Amino acid sequence: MKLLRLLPVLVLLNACAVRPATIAPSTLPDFSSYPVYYGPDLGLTFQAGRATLRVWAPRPKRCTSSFIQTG
Amino acid sequence: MGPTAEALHLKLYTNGIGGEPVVDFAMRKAESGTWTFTLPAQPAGRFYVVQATIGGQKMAEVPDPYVHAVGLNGQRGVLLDPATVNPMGWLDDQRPTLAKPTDVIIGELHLRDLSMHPKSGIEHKGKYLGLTEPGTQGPAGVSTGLDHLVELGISHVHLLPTNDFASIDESTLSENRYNWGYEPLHFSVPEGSFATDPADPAARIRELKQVTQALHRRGLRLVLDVVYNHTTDAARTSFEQLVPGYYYRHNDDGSYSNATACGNEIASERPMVRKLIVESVAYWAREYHADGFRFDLMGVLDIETMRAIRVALDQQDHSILLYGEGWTAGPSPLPETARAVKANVQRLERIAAFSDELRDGVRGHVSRRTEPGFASGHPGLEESVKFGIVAAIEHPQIDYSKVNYSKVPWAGTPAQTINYVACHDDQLLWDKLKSSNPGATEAELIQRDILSNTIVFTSQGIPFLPIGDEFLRTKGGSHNSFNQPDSVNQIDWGRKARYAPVYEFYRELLALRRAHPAFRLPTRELIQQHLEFLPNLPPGTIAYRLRDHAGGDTWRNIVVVFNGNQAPASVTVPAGSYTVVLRGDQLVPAGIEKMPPSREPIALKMPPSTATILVEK
Repeated sequence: MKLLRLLPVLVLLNACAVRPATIAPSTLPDFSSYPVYYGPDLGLTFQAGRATLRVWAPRPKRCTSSFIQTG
Repeated sequence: MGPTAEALHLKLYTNGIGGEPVVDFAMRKAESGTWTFTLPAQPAGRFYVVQATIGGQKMAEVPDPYVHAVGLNGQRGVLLDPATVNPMGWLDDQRPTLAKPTDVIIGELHLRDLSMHPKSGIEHKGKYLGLTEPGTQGPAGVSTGLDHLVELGISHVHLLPTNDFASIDESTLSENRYNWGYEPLHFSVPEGSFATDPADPAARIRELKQVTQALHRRGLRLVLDVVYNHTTDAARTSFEQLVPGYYYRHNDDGSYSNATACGNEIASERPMVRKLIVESVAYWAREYHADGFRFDLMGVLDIETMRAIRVALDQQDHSILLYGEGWTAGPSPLPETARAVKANVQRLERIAAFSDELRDGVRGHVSRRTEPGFASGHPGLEESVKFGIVAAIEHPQIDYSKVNYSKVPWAGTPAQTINYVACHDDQLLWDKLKSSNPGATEAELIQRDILSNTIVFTSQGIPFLPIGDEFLRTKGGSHNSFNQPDSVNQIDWGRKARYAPVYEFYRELLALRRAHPAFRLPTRELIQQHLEFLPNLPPGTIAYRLRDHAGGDTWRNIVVVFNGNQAPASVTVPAGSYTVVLRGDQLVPAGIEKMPPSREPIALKMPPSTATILVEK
């Protein structure tokens, strides 16, 4: 229902969204295999005047390292 | 094998935009797919980005998804703990009391709309601080801004998106561009264009806290409109630059799915996305003391995520209000049974949804733009309006087959239903009345306006209105003002003076609701026991009785009658000894007049397009 509110933006987006919009189906990863981090400290945390950044960006698994070696 | 990161670098900069990195650290691999790095006590730069290497390619520099402070245009994060950026007295800030959710009255507002009018009397036009100014006055001395919100009698101020959105270039604010803000860039940082200085990372943080503080001091609660269902152009986001594909849903062909009609939709069901959303909502409540959240296109989000949000907030305060749009703007690959749509509200304990049944029943169909509603005499909408009067709970006197949208009651309790006839989307009530009632006089339109919101504010559930509708706000007929100039969107405070009697009626109407618990029954059972619709009514009319001191009300019986017809009607009400407290645009809680006591049912004469409320004390 409704939500025509971004229609002009959409038209623009679609026109310039070629690059990001497609991950070919053969390469769409199995996201359920990605590790899950349960800790409370993602992002910046501050302790005793020092900042620690923690970012979730999973790495390739060892068994798929041929991809990295050739890539 | 997925497109995952082989390296992650943390780079520091001196400024929020431009320049070269002053230092570049390789982050250390840590558990469960995370990378971590502890900065020295005196870092070389204040602004930071991360950059992933994926498939041998360096991705774009971005802040991280949990970023809590940013520089201009949200381009870089900032090594700044928002907990250290507080206005004076912040530690003493407390939520105003709220006894129960059906006591809530919501006023919806865009920050710019409140203050931009040249005669708003507000100094900080278009800014967070504009909402903190007391004592402001407009034309003819009417109160404006914060004082107006207090005077109107709402309990909650619902702000359109205040998280960092992409639509406004914060480096060119003098151009005075306007946007509603439904284009998220960062989920957990305030928007910069509302700050006095968007390049100063502390300003937006401190000033949004000042908003909460100013509202709380005046007894008002703050609702943030949160947009977790999509982001701006996905390629711009930290999501796609760090974990390509993970944060978004896709069609079978690998393209982004688009249940939001905004180009992408967030995959809230994935564990790390759910975690981000839940922690973001909890963060706004904890750090900014937000008292409620309105979820844009909640029907895109999954049920488990919404439940997890409720649980996380309950650890802070059970009275935090949650509601959302229980629909989508297009098909989603996630099955509807898993999503937080209206039909699943009974599986979303203490989360409410907007009722489009009452909205379109009273004002007219949303897409058939010239079609009026019940309040303008359109036939066949009685059951849709009744559906909203009982707050979308099950009631034996409603013929669900005749309801405009849902054919079943979808709310488990009245606190799960938001009743309204207008919001920022589509036309304001006054504009809809004008376009669906060609040829009507202004006096007739005012009658229908007053009837429309009399229905809303006497109905069970939680009522909602866009600020300005209480004095016939207009956007010149606009259906979609999301990026239209201030001249269209701003609240014209001159109308508050010009339509002073209308405004006074609204104020009295909200006061009537606040004074009488019969209109705010907290449970389904109480509504089923105490609210009875009257039988044998002429078409185009609705009448019901709240009987036997409903909700502990001082009034024994309250009879509420609506005549949507553009002609007089005769409605039979039970025998009794009544006082008229509301008739059309007159509202006097102590009584307009006493009717002669009658032992027989009474034929009540209803003028066109009016409500009447009779009480037995």
